[in-house]
Amino acid sequence: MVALLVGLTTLCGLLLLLAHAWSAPIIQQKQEAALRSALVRVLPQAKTFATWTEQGGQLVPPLATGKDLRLFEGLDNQGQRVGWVIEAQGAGYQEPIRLLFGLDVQGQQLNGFEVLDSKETPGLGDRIEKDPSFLANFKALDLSQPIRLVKPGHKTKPSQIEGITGATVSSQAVAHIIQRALASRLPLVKQ
Amino acid sequence: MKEPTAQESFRQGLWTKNPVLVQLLGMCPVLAVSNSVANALAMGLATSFVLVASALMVSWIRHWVPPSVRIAVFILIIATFVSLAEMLIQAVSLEVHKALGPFISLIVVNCIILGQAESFASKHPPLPSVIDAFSRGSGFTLAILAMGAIRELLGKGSLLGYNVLGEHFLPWVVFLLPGGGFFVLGFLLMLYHRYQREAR
Repeated sequence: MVALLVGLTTLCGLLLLLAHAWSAPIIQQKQEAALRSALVRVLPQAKTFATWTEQGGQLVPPLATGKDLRLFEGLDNQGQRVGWVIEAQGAGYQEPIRLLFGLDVQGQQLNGFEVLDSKETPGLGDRIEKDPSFLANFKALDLSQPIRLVKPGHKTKPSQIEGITGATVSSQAVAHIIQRALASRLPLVKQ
Repeated sequence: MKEPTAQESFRQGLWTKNPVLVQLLGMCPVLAVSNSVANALAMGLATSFVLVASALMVSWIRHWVPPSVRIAVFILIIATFVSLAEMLIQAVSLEVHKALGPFISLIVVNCIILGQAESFASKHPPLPSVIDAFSRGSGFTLAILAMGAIRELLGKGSLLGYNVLGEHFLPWVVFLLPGGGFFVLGFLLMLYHRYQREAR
């Protein structure tokens, strides 16, 4: 019995080891490709991205194992900075939402937005990912004033985000996540 | 022990003893990831893969497994293949892996698989075990696909992501939510059992 159990566990362990060795690089490559295409959608002007993270109010290169939220500096072919992409995370309706948003070089305007990870209610909350009129908020959001979430149809200023009917909590969550991320990231970007 | 013919196995697995519609096993994935055809198909295929692979293993070693540790051995084998399936799915498509979320790992505790190992694969030679596992897997896939098709059609107006009901169709979002899952499952069970009673 012991021989059987030992043999079987060893065999299973070996199988998993092999499968992991084969799949890990492929999975990592796919994740990087997915992140890169999201970055390009948020900041199309950039040709390459430099990755940073924040530590004690300074930009530092991220640790290889780090799970810190990242800042991506968008660079053009000449190595000139053309904007920033900020990774941000916060509570959604039930599960955390992780998203990217793009800033211009001076950090005065938010001009790109993409949800990376969310488990919002299908058909209601998940419209924060696709709803065209909600996404239109993030094509040119003015950051010179504090941003505010307003009811659908009540947007009067370029610093306001128009929410979605039927997805109140999810659109509030997006606004909060962006507000919080801006508070800590804008000073870094403006340095 | 007498072996059932392949034909018998398929008839039972797909229809007369369908794991979902008759035995009511594996309800958790059937309700949770049947909100679109693509998710249902991926879950059905992943479960069938684990079912067939673990049936083969369990059947091979059936003479050496002492009854006192058989459940632990079955779970070890099933868990190994579930981990393999999870890595495979993630390597093939991150999107599918994200959509299925924790439910891939939860295939480990799917009663269809442990039930098949306990009641069939541990008592029969490899070939009939694999045929039986495959037919049960197909029955599960068929049922979850039916759920996925109905829920996606009514909840989004599309099938496999292609819009089929046109722009003027107002989606019944409730069918994508958990409540809609229970509703569709109950409806399918009702249809199935009504049909079976009238056929008799």
